[in-house]
Amino acid sequence: MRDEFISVAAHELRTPLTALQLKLGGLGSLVTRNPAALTQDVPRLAGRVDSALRQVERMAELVERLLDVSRIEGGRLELRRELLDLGQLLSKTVEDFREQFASAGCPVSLDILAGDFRGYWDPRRLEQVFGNLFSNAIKYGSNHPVEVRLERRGDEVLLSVRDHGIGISEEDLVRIFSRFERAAAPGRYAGLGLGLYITRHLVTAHGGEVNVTSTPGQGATFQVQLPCQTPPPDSVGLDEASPEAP
Amino acid sequence: MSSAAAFDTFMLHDVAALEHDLEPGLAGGDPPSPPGGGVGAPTGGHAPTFACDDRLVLIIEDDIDVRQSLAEVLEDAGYQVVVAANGREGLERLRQAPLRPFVILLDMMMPEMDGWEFRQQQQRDEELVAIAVVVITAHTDAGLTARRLKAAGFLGKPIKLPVLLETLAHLRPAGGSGQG
Repeated sequence: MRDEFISVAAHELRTPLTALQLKLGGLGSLVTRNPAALTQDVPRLAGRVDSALRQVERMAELVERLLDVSRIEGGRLELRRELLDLGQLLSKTVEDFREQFASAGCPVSLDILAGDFRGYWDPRRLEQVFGNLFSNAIKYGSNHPVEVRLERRGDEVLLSVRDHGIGISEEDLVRIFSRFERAAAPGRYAGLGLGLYITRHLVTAHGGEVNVTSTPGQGATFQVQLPCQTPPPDSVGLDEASPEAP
Repeated sequence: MSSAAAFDTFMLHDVAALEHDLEPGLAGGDPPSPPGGGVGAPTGGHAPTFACDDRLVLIIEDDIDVRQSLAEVLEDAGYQVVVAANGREGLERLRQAPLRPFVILLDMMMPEMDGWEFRQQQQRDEELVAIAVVVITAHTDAGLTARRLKAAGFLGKPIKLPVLLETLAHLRPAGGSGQG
């Protein structure tokens, strides 16, 4: 497992590294071969530098995910809870992903039903949960619509992310939340295979649950339930004192 | 780590040696296509039924950043570039285009249609079979993959720009025969 993990992680790091190496190589040869180009088309050049920086961010993000696994395994994952409106956070995350949805040919709909979505959660970690579910919907459901829905039901908030992609077979449903597992055929989909594993841990740390239903060939629906009530500050072992909390 | 450099690339003449050890392949009794002579000479010696552009490169790569970076540096180097996000799109581009690329840069791990399936379909198509393929992959077994696919070469990710340009320059028909 360890070898396989290192191999998968190395493969994933090589992708942004490839883009970065080509970007910098291209910029380097421009500088040496055609210095005049540096002042001729500044916006284009700036765009290339931005794009190189984005590769660095991609790599930093991968390193963070690897560290998340280490934190989860070592019981060191800390939540920084603060009072927030989950509806707002969800809308913002959908907006952040709008370009990715569009370039994958996924029309996205966001349906926030009437209700109170305020609670004490870790915004960064829940944004990560939303992002993981959106990334999966995009990866396995490209060129199909994605429906995101948020509703309040009793003391819980229910989020569902539904795609219409390749779906997940019954036998795979049980293992997709495990580390390095994925249902899709190997060799076709990039990624660490850690997204759902981390997602499940982040949701569980918030006292919630994540479930999935699917019909192979027709898509999958991931549902996250999060309790709304404010927990006493030290009721959850994973908690860190939240400086923002009143 | 010293072996990593060996995975960077191997060129056409290396394949010529390798293919003697492999089962008879797409080129029939012909020698592996040298730069300048390979395009349009599929099994059976049919006359080429299409035109090949010695500046046109098809990039089949699912990662948008890698795809754009490759396109960018190749355009800087004077090539014309057509891009596709997976094997199925790659076949579409090839079949639609009035001119065929002289080389296809082929990623292996892609959704919808991966590099293996693309190459199989390409080899079954008499009009496309002669286009040289250079495998690009982040896996350490890039060389083995390229041999199995009877590719003209491979580039291990991360890709060094000079190696990329050198690889394409060797495969470019005009570079070998002056054919226009």
